[in-house]
Amino acid sequence: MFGVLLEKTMDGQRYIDWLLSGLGWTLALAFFGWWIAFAIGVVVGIGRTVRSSFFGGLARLYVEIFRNIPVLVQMFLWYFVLPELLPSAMGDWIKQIPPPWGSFFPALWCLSLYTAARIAEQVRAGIEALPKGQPEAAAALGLSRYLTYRHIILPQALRLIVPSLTSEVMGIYKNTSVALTIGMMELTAQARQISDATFQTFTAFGAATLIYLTLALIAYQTMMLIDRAVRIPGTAPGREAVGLDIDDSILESPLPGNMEVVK
Amino acid sequence: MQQERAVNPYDRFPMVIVEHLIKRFGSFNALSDVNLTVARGEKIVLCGPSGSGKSTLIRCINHIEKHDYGRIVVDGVELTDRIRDINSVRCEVGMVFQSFNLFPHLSVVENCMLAPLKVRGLPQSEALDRAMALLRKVRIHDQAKKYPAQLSGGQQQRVAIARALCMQPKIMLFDEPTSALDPEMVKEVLETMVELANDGMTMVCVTHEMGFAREVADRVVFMDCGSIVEEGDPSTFFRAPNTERARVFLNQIVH
Repeated sequence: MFGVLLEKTMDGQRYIDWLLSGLGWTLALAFFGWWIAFAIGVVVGIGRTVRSSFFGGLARLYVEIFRNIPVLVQMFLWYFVLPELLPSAMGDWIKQIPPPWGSFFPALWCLSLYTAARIAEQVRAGIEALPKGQPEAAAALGLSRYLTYRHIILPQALRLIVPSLTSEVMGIYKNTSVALTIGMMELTAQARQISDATFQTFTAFGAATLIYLTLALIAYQTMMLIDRAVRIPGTAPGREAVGLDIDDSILESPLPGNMEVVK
Repeated sequence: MQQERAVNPYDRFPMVIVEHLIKRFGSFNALSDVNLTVARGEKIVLCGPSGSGKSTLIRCINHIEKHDYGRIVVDGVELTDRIRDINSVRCEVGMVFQSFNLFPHLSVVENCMLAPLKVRGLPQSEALDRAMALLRKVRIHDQAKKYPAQLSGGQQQRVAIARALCMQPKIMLFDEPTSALDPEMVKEVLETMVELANDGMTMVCVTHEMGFAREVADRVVFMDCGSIVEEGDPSTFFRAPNTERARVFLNQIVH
């Protein structure tokens, strides 16, 4: 059924190479977009929980704007509208960025900012789910607000939201398909191109579907592994029993890097 | 006012001075005009019915709860809204909570080392030595690498005491430290507190453990409805309280 993918195209490649090139762009958008989104999301999520009404309001505004505009519209805004709003020299410079980068960067930026708004809400929920005694105990020890967030609140909140971040990881790579509307030749765009060239619609989109499904499974499994790796000993229901061996390096280097694993 | 903080040669001054303290939650008066002085080395037991404001009072002493009116001076530093004053006071005031509040994502020894490392700026090795010494003191050093969820309640509370002591506080506040414990674990925590008292630590304990109060307290302070109703030395207070309210309260807790 997928035999047509191995046939040669007009440019001497095989159709499967088109798909793989599309997959590459999809992965690049999802991967870099994810890290940018995560960084912004954590900062905005923290902003949602601070006492300052200025930063709180700013963070709220960010979330409401980017979460509530459809990704497709945001894509068009960054690609078509932004260059027109900027001073003409700058707008022209943006329009002259050669393909595929001229589409890649607006798409990356768009997906990052949209996903960041969603992550921010997860981070806020994670922080608010922590018992009040945690920040109180930190305060009683003299930890500043910054140290409390850095060492007490974030390490716990981020662990807490790993399962719900899984759906954000799956969300961002699925949303990469919207980038085809601004000319990004990612997986879906390549599938459409194959379909147009060969009239094998079922094969082309079937292959794309299988690839998306595989990616979803990989993302899911990876997040499960991360969840297990950062789990706090003694808190797993019925899995790790009391009294397990903890390696001795903890004593040598207290405050181990394992807080950072989540990032 | 703030300048006094840097040098504090007045060691004979009281550890804590609370004057005309008022704390409101909305329209509810949690504390109304409370006055209390804690001398250095003094052990005070605060008791009273629930809702009488005893927890609120000690939470005001390290500014976890912000007071509305009145003055609190801890070790010569007045608690104002200045964040530097508050943090410097909190370093000198150890606190133990009813629900332990250990940091679940850090091992026992890391719980003890965090504040000395990050707040006091102690070198790693020194913080580790201090943490292990204090864990040994509360007899839990063999569990140093475990995580809080792997310990019993009594063990967790002893870790919490060690964690507070790692900052080398000048005063320890205990907010019903044994109330959340199973009966068989109360003793090990109280023993640790008695030892601490015998070392000369200044202590303010909210507790209903009357045996502990008799053995350790220099003074028992009885609160009701946000005010101090009666205070005195434990033997007099328990044998013959002056006020009717204290009598009723004592009758209720001595079943």
